[in-house]
Amino acid sequence: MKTQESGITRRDFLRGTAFAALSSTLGMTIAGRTTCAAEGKEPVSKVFLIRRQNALDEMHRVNRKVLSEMLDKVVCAVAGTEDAAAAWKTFVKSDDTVGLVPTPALGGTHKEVTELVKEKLAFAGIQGEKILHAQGKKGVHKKCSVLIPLPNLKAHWLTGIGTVLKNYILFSGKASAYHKEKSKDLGRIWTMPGVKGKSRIVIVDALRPLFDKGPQVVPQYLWHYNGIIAGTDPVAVEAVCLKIIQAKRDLFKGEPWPLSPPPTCIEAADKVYHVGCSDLSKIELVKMGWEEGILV
Amino acid sequence: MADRHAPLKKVEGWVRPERPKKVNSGNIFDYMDGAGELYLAYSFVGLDVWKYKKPDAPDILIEVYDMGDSPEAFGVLSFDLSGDEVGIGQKSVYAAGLLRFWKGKYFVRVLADAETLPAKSAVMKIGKHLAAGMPGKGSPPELVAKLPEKGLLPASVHYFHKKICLDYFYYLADDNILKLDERTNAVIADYGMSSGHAKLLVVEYDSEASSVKAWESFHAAYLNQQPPESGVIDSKKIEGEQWVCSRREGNLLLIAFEGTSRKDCEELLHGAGTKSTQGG
Repeated sequence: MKTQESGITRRDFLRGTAFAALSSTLGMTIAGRTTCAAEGKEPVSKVFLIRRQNALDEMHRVNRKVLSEMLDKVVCAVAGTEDAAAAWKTFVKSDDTVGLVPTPALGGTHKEVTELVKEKLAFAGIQGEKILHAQGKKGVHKKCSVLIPLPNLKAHWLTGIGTVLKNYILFSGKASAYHKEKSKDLGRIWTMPGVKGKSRIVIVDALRPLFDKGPQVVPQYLWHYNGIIAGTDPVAVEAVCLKIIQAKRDLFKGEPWPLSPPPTCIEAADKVYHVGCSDLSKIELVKMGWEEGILV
Repeated sequence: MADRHAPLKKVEGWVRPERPKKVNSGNIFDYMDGAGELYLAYSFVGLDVWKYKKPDAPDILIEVYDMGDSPEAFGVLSFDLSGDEVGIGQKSVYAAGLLRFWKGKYFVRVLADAETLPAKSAVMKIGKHLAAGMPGKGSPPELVAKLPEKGLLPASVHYFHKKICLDYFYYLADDNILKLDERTNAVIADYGMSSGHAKLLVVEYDSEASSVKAWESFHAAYLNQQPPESGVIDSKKIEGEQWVCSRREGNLLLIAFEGTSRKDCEELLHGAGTKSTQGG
């Protein structure tokens, strides 16, 4: 799709007409229709949030045993089973090649998250050589039959939020085409050959999110949320992530503190690219564990 | 960067490696994917990185950025001025284990992985030693002086050049309707006014012709009307609740956003940019 001038301004957001302008810019004839709109009033996507008060210590170190239990429980919940190995097997088969896609560097995904997911896949019968690190390595994602995004939760100064949808930017082959105002098209990457249909579960590291200035770490904007967020719908997971980040920002300032630039990629991933559901009223959030400071 | 800016070899049990990691505009994204754009939006020259280690203690990361000249170093610090002033360099902020300051053409970050009392003490000592080794002082950008003082919230002052930065400070439009680029200097700040808050943006173009183009573009894209003559304040209430007031004066463009009252909004413009510099 050719990039063109959008004509979207701050005033469109003040008027609540930004998305109509965005759809027009992208040349879509389905402007305004959400992926979940046709499904009636019932929730169409489920997102699961698990939190544990002792997931991190005061030095920000991960309690591996607690995290392992959190991952088992949340994946069981997403799969609708009670056995962790069986849960993983609903997302991967023994002949799959699985690509793990954590967020690299700059206070990215805790290494314990990636390591534990790898261990659990092995326990579920995926042999070690068939579990690949797919982030940032050219073409590796194309060799994988399954991708498991493992981003960390953070605000991003260039895109508003930089968590689930942005996690695949390097798979596009041209990351610069999705920077700045063009980040609204991030959902398109999830529809590309080699990517589409491979992400059977999304797991977000929300242990210590960053609610401003990301991705470079500014520690006054980090907090111990001690959570893992998971689901099968990447857009719904991102929508919940956005809700948490926005709530934390408003709490921090004591007044509305909207993300800037506005994270238009979430709504566009839904309404334009049909990757998933961005409408929180159509997303059922299942909460497990520690409730204090949950923000959603 | 010259070795005289190398930080202390040992600080309270923390030890750094002999040589820094060298980062330049060619490899900055290898070092900080997704964050390098900030420094490249200013006149980034190079970066030296050290990591101090101490057994059973948080690591301490040192980053010394050569920003080319002092307005650029000031600008990068002004990206976020939240934190406590701790009297290091020409201006410093400290919060939660991160010290940032500028002095001359340098911008410095000293970051402890976790904020403990010993780590904070070491961060301060490293910062003071680094600042002392940086010769001379620089001047902040001249444009900052064009901001009216009355009602100014100092921690909200941000100096920059490009749209990529304005999008973060105050998203205005997807398109570059103010024609910002590396040749423009801009400052944005918040004000506490009698009727509420407002935001003032001052942009300095390299010529009056450039400011005219931007003025016309802004009016067409944002206000949907023709601009008035140079020097005349244009005030418009948008979306029924916010005043946007603007004025072009020589190579300067001044725009007040989110004015609660027309009077306060226009007062901001009267007080700003009175020492306009004429470009070529």
